[in-house]
Amino acid sequence: MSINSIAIVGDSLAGWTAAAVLAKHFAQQIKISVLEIPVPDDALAESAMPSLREFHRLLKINEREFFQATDATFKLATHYRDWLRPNHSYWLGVGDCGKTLDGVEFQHYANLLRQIGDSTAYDAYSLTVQAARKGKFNPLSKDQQAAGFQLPYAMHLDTASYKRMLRDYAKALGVTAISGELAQTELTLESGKLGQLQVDFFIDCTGAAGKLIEYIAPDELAQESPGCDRRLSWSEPSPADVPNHTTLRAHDFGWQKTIPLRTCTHHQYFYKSEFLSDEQALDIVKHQTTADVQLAQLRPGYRRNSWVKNCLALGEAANGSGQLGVSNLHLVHSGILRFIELFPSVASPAFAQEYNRLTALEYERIAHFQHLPFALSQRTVPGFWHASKTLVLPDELNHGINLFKQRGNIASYEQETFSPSAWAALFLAHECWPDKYDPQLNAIKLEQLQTHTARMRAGIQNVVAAMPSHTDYLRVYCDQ
Amino acid sequence: MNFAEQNPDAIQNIVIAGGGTAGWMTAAALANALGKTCAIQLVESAEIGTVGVGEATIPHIQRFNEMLGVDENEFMRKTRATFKLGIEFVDWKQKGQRYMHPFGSYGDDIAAIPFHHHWLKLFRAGLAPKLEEFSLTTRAAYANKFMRPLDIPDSPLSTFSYAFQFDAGLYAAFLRDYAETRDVKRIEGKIAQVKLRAHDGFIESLLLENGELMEGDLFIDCTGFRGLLIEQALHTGYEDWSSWLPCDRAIAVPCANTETLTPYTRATAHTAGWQWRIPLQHRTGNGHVYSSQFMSDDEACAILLKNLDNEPLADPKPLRFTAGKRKKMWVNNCVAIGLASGFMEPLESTSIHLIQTAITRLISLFPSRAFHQREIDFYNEHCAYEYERIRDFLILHYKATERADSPFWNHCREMEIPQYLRDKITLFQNSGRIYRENDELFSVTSWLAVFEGQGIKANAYHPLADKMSVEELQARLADYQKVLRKCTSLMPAHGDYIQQNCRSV
Repeated sequence: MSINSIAIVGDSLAGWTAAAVLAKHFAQQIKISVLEIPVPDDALAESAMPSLREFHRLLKINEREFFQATDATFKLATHYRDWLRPNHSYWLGVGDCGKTLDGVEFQHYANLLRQIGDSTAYDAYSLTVQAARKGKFNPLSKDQQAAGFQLPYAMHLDTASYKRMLRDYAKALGVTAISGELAQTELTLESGKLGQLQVDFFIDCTGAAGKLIEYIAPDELAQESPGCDRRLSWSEPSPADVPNHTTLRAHDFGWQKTIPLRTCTHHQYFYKSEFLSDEQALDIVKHQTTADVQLAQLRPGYRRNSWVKNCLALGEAANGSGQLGVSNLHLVHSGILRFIELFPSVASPAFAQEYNRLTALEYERIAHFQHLPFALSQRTVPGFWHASKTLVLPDELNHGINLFKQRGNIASYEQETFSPSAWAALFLAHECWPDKYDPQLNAIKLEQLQTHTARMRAGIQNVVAAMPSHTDYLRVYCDQ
Repeated sequence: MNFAEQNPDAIQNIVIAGGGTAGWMTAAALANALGKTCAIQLVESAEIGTVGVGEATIPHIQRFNEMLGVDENEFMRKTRATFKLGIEFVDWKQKGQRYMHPFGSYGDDIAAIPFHHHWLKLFRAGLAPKLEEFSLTTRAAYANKFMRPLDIPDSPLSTFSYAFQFDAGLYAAFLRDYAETRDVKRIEGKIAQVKLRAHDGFIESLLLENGELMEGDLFIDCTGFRGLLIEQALHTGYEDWSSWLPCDRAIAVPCANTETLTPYTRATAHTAGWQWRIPLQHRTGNGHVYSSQFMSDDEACAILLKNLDNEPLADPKPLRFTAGKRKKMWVNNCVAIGLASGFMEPLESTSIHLIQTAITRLISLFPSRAFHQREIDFYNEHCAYEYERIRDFLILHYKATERADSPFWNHCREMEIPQYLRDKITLFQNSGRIYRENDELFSVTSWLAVFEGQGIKANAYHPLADKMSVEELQARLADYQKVLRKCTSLMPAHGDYIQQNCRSV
């Protein structure tokens, strides 16, 4: 099969992301069109991951212009509230916590210190969390970078305006936008026909509905991990001081996500319809806001085969679990880049097979990461939390927990999205401290370790103290 | 600027009579505190031996070192010092029994209620591990481990304290060096006569045997038991405490030290007194403190020699004393410091501490030539209180015994004790409560260690300890034990730590 034309179906962020990156790679060789059928369930805002910056570098999108166009803010961390138990909170920063010392990962040192009674919070060693807690931001100076500091970050963005930005980008590279609706009768994909459109390959970006992929390969989504199938969204004007973190606050029926943009803060109330009716949920939300509230149906879980024949499902059509820990946008990036890597220039089922194998591994690992907070939560309310907590743990996750509890080792698997440091931070945030410590530390000199860790903490505090507020930085940055 | 220009009444000349530990500690501290505002002279004679009281100290001495700005490692190298985490008491409650009086504390307070009430609750339910399980310093001491505290929030490794065991002769030499570089003038000579002013009985000068006259505004008596100034010249009087503390003799001898350097002092009870064991870098100091009323000198010496780790390195040296204190430690323009002010056996290593507090108290109440009586009274009241509270704590060791194997112990067990001590014991027995009153030296931990070690039991505990269930408490205490085990295992050996930080060459 030689591919000369691709139709991307769905006027979604996933669709225009795919269009932009495909156009960047193949504009001269392949005819790319986007069938702009509405995808009403697209979230209004995204809390992205640092991979978005790599994506922008790839596309040579100017970051400042991106901020100016999308009401974006910087994101340094996520604040998890009431997650382990009510009135408990923890922060997970973008990037790693602490520095590797003598080839041993930092969590092992923190674990050892904990075992001799140290009460220092693990995130005291995370520059991103410390800056996020204080609402501060500034890129690091050369000196600070030379001193070993890192400040990886992600962004919060407005989906509609970002989609417009990518649409302009793709159209400038020759992508055709076709407006329209999709009727079931039009679908004859195997012959490459979609209504009037005749192409070699389809990319399904129609959101949770998966209108194309469901048609050619109806599939029960794999869902072994807890998740929500409803989302209520609304937005409010942002406060004068705009936070540079996402908030995920657990509630009895799910959780609420808050994504702060420069002018507008988006709220998403996730819940599971099994335990809470839409009316009840709306009632709860109406106590919080007088704004318009939109309801979306979600399909948590992921498709085992997202590439079937000449159709690739992307975004929520492939994986609807980008609600916690991972962003939908990240899944779109990883999917489309993997597709380009395995682009089927030769007619062979091997490309799709490999794509599906790797993607399923990736999704499975993400699902385990998302499952962990539920497995470790101490929330005992019947309904959502009880059901989530008592869900059978997948063997790999079970093994990972047991391994960590011994002395802090992280089980490593193929196609892992999260670094060992991120896994460790998640375990430790849930007060899951190992019994023993790594034997590589047996000969450690505590006096040196104490000096070292104190210096790390002080260094972080100094860097944060010198930063301007996120709001001030953002204003100057965007007004230039 | 000359201080005297500002204040015509300012003390300008200080005379310290006697060197030794007391004399040179005083000289060093005053030289540091007063700077060049005051001339300080110290007279001592190489012919008069010093007692070299107490080679073991308590943690407060770190503050003295800090005050002088002394580098601790250098101080340890020069005095061949070892670290000390507590005192082990052997055979005090009964023969074959031992316990540690540790520095630092037992456990952590829980919900603002002292740890020991929670421990008592479990103990009374028959579920408590031994109290000593909850002391980091006891665990480290018995494992012969040591490191200085670290700055790790909430770790037991950041909250314990330590002291030193050192050669008192070398310590005096170290401080003499310190004082002399700060312009303290040492005069070699023996005091022949203390001259008093006729009209008010203040000391005017010291006449030395060589005819030299030392005049001063303020005189510090560091002449030891004799109290050449405070007693022989000023006839202050002595309060005798031997009815409570019957030991009146000691015989001291050093021996070669053992391979393992123990980071603690040991006090082993014998039939009419007790024996100290203080390990230093180069030798182990030993001494037998006994009551001449219950034991002959020969027998005491034989017991001492029989209970050494190794061959003695010198001839045994006898000492005589009477437990008690000078009725006043500051009279007119004379302040007695060290043995001239009183004597209590070194059972809790308090001798050097008493020198230290006398010095800091003198500095805080430092007089002018007007010598206001109210300040002097205040000084004496505080010294007396401090002495008496230490006395009571020492008496507890003798009184709280089950030993009935000698007339000495029968006497101690049956003797009347001071009211303060009686009340302290009763309060603890009735309610488990221990209060540290005013400026008394010994902490709740210290009292608790000796109560527990010598068999005084509490019949109740703080009612608020019932806020936590037995199961919760057990889990919490088990966690704490686990933390302490880990802390201890990560501490280096005491000997290695000295080798790396402060080995004397």
